[in-house]
Amino acid sequence: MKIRDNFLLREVAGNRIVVPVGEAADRFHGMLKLNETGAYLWHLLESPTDEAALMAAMLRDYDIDQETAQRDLQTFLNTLRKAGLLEEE
Amino acid sequence: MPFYRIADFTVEFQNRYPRLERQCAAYRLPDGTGNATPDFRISVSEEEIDASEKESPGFSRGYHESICMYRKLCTCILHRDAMLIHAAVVACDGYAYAFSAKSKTGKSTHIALWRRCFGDRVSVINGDKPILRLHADGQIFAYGTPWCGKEGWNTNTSAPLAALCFLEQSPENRIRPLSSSEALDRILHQLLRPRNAAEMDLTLRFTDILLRKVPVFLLGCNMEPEAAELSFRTLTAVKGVPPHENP
Repeated sequence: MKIRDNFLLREVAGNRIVVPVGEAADRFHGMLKLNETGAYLWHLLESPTDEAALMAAMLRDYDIDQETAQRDLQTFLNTLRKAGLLEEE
Repeated sequence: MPFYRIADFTVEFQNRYPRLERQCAAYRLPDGTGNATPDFRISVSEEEIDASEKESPGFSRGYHESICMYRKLCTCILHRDAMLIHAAVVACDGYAYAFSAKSKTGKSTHIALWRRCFGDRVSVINGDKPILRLHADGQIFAYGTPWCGKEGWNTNTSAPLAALCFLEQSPENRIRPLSSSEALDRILHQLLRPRNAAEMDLTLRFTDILLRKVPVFLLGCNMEPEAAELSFRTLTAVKGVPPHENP
C-alpha cells in the first residue's frame, strides 16, 4: 500500500495538513489534518509498504504496546481509505 | 502597453479587450515613468478566456480576460511573498482590518456599518480581493487592487494588516479569537488553491506566516451598529499583538 500521488503534507502554523495538487485536486476537495503519529505514518506510506512494516516501525519508534499501535494504525488507515488517499494492491 | 503599479509591483498586462484598462485606470503609471522591465508581464490566451466563460457564463469577453489576468498575477506574486485573499479590507487610523466569510454572509454590510459608525476614520482598501504582501521588516500589508467585487470598493493604497476577522451570521453579536487550527480551516476556503505543487507550497508558506503574525477572530454578527462597535473595539485593541504560536 502507498499514499496516492499528488498530495502535499505541510506544517502550517503548528498544524500538519495534507492538501491535494494536480489531478488529485479534481477528486479531493478540502484538506486532512494529521497528528504527530499520522504525519509519521504518512511519510512511511509515501513509499510502498505494508501493515506489518508499519506496525514494526511504530513499535520501534514509539513507546506503545502492540494493541494500541494496532488500533492507531487501523484508525489511520481507515481515515485514508475513506478519503480515497490510499493505493492498495 | 501601459504599466500598472499593483501591490508595489510594476505590472504589464498584454490585454486584447479595453475593459481591463478602464478597470485599472487608478493604478496606471504615467507613460514613460515605469521601470524599463516590469516585475510581471501578464497575458492570457483566447482559450483561457473560453475556459473562464464556460465556468461562469453571462459576462463579456473583456470581463473574463480581466479575471484571468488577475488570477495569473496572483499566481506570479506567490513567488514574491504576496498572496490574494478573498476578504473585505478596511483602513482605520493607519491600520488595515480584513473581514472574510463565505460569499453572501454580509462582509459588505459589515464594512458599511463600520463606515456609518466611524465615518471618515474608515476607508475601504478593497471590498473583495485584496493582495497581502510580506514586507522586508516582517509586517504584512494589505493592498487595494482594481479587482474588488460588485460594489467597486477599492483604493490604490495599503496599510499594515492588524487583524483578520471571519464573519458568520448570528442573532446575537459575539466575538472570540480563533486558534491557529480553527483559523486554518476557514482561511483555506478563502484563497486561490493552486493545482501546481510549487505554487501550493508557496501558498501554504504564506498562510503559515500570516497565521503566525496576524491575530484571527470569529465574529458572529447581526446587522445592527452594535456589531460594528464590537468588532471595532476588539480588533483595534489587538493591533501589533502577535497571536499565540500554538493556542
